[in-house]
Amino acid sequence: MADGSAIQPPLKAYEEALNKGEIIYQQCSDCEHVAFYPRIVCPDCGSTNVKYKPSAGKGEIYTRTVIYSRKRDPYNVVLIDMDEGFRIMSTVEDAPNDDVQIGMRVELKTVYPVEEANAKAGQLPKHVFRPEGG
Amino acid sequence: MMDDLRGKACVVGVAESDLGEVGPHVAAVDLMAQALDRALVESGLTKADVDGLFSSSAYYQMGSVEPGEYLGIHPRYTDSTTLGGSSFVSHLLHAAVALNQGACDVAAVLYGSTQRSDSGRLVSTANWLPYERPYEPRMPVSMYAMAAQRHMHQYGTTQEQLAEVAVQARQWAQLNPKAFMREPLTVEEVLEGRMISEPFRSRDCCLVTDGGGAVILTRPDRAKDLKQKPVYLLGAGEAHWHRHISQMPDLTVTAAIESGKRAFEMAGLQPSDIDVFELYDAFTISPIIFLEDLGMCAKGEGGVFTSDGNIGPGGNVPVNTNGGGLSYCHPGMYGIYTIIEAVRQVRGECGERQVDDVHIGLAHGSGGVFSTQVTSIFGGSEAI
Repeated sequence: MADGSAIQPPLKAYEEALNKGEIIYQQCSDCEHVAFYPRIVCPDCGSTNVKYKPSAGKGEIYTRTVIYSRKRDPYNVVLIDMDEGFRIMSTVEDAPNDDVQIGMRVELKTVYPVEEANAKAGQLPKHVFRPEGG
Repeated sequence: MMDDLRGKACVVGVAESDLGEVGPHVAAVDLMAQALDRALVESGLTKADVDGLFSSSAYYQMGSVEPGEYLGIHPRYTDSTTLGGSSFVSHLLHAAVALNQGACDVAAVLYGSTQRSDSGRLVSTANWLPYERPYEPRMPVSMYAMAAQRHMHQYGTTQEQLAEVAVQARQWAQLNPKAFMREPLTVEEVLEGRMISEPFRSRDCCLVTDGGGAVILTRPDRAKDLKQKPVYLLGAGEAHWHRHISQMPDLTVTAAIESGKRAFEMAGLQPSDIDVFELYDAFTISPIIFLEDLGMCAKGEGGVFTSDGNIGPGGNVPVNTNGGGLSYCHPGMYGIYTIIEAVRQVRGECGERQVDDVHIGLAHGSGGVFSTQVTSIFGGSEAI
């Protein structure tokens, strides 16, 4: 950006990292603000000098819900406060839904690739978490 | 200065269209036209007087243009601002600015939706955040559910307190002949409802109905010789901080703390001056959080504050006196009905559900996933 180069799509950077089993976030080189999802500007100070960083993949559940559907078994959706200071939506496996509660420590378990049809619709691969040390 | 707008615009006509289930083949714009016709009749104005058009719905990408064509209104001021369910409250503020700049003389705010007759599911313009979509939260209930879950964790708000919000909404609805759900409802029945998205059961969630609405505004000088006693817009404020739930900084605090502050400052009033609160209740957690954010109680105390009949008929703080989105109607973007009910309560024409001595009414709209917050405050001529 600063050198006038073509735009580097943040979504693509995120997806490529995820396909390698890594969650990336951004930190602003000017104001240190940590951001997720990735953008081409810092949502705090407006600088374009934002750098991608890999996350260690650990965090704590900020909030959660369990969704009841006629089409599948109940499943959880969580917002996780990652240790690096950003928040993401995900889901927690390897634990009963009733145990997936606010404050639970979790870690990245794996990444599921996106099915071809969904990829065409712009859907991203999916990271899933598990209880820390699980 | 925004405080110069205090009392400079007034509502002279409000109406719902047919509500509930209007049946197949009715278009959303049909309901807009029906509501506008009714609002014009009660105001004493005609369609030819309308030169400012404000509309949004999930149906028409060019919100004000579709009803403009259908109705044969050629506005000189047009506004399709789309903020989800709070759009119409925002339209009030924008209309007040336009009216006082002379950009229009009579503003009509319109809404229509046939989501119940269409499919029985919420017709949504929601755009998915790619970083949320793969986890399949149910839009929008799961987002509000996560906010409720956090509020419960942080402040000890209980499932019973959520249920009490639904029960009191139903008690108001029993006094409103236009309400969709009027049979008695108990806390126990709410707690036994089908689980949708924890902690919400079916009765924690708003209705899916059809419905349209219209609000007509003009300047006080123009209102003098009209049929209705004008109801003055004393204050209004809008705010938004996030679009998607994972970007909401604190799921227990909404931008209503800013929209409310702006509205109260313009009106020169305090939360304790409000006689009726019409708050967008898409889910039972919503009035709890809005009463906190609008300053009626401290953050975290909303669950206790709304309990024990405090917001129901005969309560100290009447909330959603029409029965709300939970029991009266919810065609998808409920905000316009908060305005209609606040205006009617200030006029004193609500029959069985009329609250005694209403001088000041507040209408608060919310859109998206607690994303857009718009607050408006109304009063009669004695407030001017």
